[in-house]
This record gives sequence, structure tokens and C-alpha cells, in this order.
Amino acid sequence: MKILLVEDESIMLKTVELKLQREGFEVICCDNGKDALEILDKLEPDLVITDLMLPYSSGIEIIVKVKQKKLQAKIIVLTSLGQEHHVEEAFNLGADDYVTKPFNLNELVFRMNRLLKFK
Amino acid sequence: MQYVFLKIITPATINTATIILLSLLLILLLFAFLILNNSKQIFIRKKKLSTLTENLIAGIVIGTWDNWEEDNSSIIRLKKILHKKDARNYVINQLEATINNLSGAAKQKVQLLYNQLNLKQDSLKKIHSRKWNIKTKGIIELYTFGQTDMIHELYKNVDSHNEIIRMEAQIGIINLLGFKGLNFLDSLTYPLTEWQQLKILEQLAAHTEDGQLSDNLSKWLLSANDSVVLIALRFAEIFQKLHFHNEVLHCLTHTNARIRSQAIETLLHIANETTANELVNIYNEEIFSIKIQILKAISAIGNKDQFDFLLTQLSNENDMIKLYAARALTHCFKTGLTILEEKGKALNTVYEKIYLHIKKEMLLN
Repeated sequence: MKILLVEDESIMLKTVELKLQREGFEVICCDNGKDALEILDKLEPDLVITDLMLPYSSGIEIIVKVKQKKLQAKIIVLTSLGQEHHVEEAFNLGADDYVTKPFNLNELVFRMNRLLKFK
Repeated sequence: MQYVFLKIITPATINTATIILLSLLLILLLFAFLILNNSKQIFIRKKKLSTLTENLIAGIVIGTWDNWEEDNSSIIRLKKILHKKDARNYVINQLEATINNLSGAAKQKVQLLYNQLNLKQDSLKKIHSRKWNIKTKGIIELYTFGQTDMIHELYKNVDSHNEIIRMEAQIGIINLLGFKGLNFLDSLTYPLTEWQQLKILEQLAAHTEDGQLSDNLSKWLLSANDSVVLIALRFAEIFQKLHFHNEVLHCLTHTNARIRSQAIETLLHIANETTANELVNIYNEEIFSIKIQILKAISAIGNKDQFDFLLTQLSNENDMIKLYAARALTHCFKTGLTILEEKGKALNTVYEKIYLHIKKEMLLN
């Protein structure tokens, strides 16, 4: 399973990447929204995990791109406390699930597996 | 004059000047090259450090508890990198980012790692700095990494003259001790800003209240620091301290209007059958905004005892008072709307307008 992981905090990107690799996923990492949008032009991931607040392009733009290109990828949004209004917007645009920081890595994996089971 | 100038500008002087200028340019270029090269080296070193530490920290954080011993090889490698202050600060920042974004076992591992790398010493050095920003960073680090044994260091700063330092120290104490940490309110001399009161309430949401508030609330409600009284009233409201009804009533006579206003808000949440009458008793002495607040409160908690009072206020010369009294009358009494309708027919257009306005409100609700 191919996962596109977009997170601007480098240590978080590395930690989540390592966790997902250990769980057997193929992970493509991006630390900004612009690169993630470019990757979506070339690749079709099974799942996109994206932070909402990103440099250059936001997580919302990534969701819009996935939907515009009619990709089958499921989307999990990473949010911080106090970003509830953005979560609502993300869901309206087609996000499938969200995880609020600080989050448990195992919980993220459970949610991913649940979404991928229905793919 | 022209002759003298031509005499100075000879081919020989032009050559010398050219050589000097070229030499200066060369020195300048050399200098720029050295600076750029140095910056590049620093960047490469930082990049190497960040890649190495990120890999090591991520590996430790997602490892299982079973192989924590095995992970010690990574800890030893990290320790070797940490002989420079910059590297230690870098690692602390990375650990802070991790702990702020992850919960569960990962959070515990980051705290353990912070201890094993002996980074507490760095945070303590920061907390003893004279610069407020460094001091604040030290405070944040100590509570973020759960250093409860360093709580005395936070207490030292809880009444600091610097607002940001004391704010972080107070948040840190509550973060580590929960409701028990609120005892700093006993001796607080500086005011708690609205923002800080909200931050304190936000921190408390993560803890369970086991009676610590009840032990101290009476004392804080009588504090000489008005902001302590305000936050105590908020505690009574949010944590439903019904048995502090009388103490809260006492705040209705406070000299500070902000406290009297908050006391009314609190009473709305812990009201009993006597509350509305107590509000009526202080009504005449109050300022206009609090009078309106009292009428609003009576609208929510009033009973038959306030009927005459509301009728009197309905005849008040101020139209705002009339409106709020009318609203309370219709909320508390079934006959309220009929009274208004009759008054509207019998008297001037103001009552008729109020009647129609309230009727519309009732339909919309």
C-alpha cells in the first residue's frame, strides 16, 4: 500500500514515516504542500495523510487536488486543537477521517487500516 | 589647475591605482567566499546533525518497550553528538516538537529520552538566565518533559514581574500538578490577565478535580487580588460548586464592577430558590449594565417573588430596562405576554413595540 505523508515538522515526518514503514506501508514523504501537489500529478497513492497547515500550499489544496483528479486515495487529515473549522471544511471537501495532535501513532495506524479495508 | 591634475594622473599612478583596486576587489571576493563557505559548512553540519538525530529519535520513539535496552545503542550515539550546546538545544527542540504532537507510549519515551540524555541540566541553565525569553524557554521545557521534581524552580517564577515568565510558570505548575498546583493563587500579587485565566482553565481540563477546589475556594473568593477573585468565581461556575452559593453572593457587594458582574454569571449556574431575590436586593444600587444583567438573570432563574419588581421595572423610564423587564416577565410568567399586550393597548406605542418584538422572539424560538 502506497501512502503519501505530508507534514512540515521534520521530526514528525520522520517518526510517522518510520512507524508506517515498520507496519509494512510504502511511504512517500513531503514537507510542504507544493511538492505534495506535484507528487499527486505523477503518482496515485492509496492513502494521503496530510497536515492542514503547510508551507506553500495547504492541506485543503491537497484534498481538492485528490478529488479533482478523481483519485481513489483515502484521506486522513492531521489537525491541531482549535482547528475544528478547518476539519469541517476538509470533510466537506472529501476527507475521510482526521486525527488531532497530539495523537497516538497506533491510533493512526488503526484508522489507516480501517479506511484501507474499505478501499 | 588642469595642469596640476594632469601631472598627478600619469600612467604610473593609473597602474598603481588599478593594482590597488584589483587587490581590494580580490580581498573582498576572498572574504565573501570565506563567509559563504563557512555558512555552507554550518548548513551541512546542521543538516547532518538533523538527519542523524531525527533518525535516532524517531527510531527510539517508535521502538517497543521490549527493546528499550537495545535502543540504548542509539542513546549512546545521541549522547556522543550532544557535546556541543547547539546540538543539545537542537535535540531538545526536536523532542519538544515530538512530545507536542504525539501521545501515548511515544510521549513517555520522549520524556525518558530527555532524562537519559541529561538535558534537564540545559533547561535548568536556561531557567536561571537573566534573559526573559531564555528563562521562559527553560520553564516550558521543564513542564513539557514532565520534570515534576523541578516544580520548585517553577514556583520561584510564579509571581515574576515579567508577565510571560509568570504566565508560563503558572501554566507549568498546573500542567504538572493539576488542581493541586493552583495554590500559587494564595500569594499572587500581579493580576491574572483574561488570557491567562483562559489558559489556566484550559490546562485544568486535562486533570480531575478531587476536592482541591473546595478546600481553597473560600480563601480565593476573599483575595485582595481582584483577578484571583474573578478566576475563583469562574471555578465555582464551571465546576458547579453549589455549596459556595453564599460566598459568591458576598461578591455581589464587591467594589469592583467586573467581579460583581462575574458573580451574577456564576450565580446563574449555581442558583437556588433565593438567588433571584438576592439579585433584586442589590438592583437599585447597581450601575446600568449590571441592572440589565440582573434582569437577564431573573429571566432565567426568576420565580413568582419577582413579579412586582418586574412590573415596576416595566414602568421604568429607560426603554432598555423596559424591554429586559418585559422579556423576564414573559419568560417567568404565563400571564406575562397578556400583561404586555394590555399595557401596549392602554399606554403609548413603546409598550406595543416591545410586545410585538417579544411575541416575534417567542415565535422564532
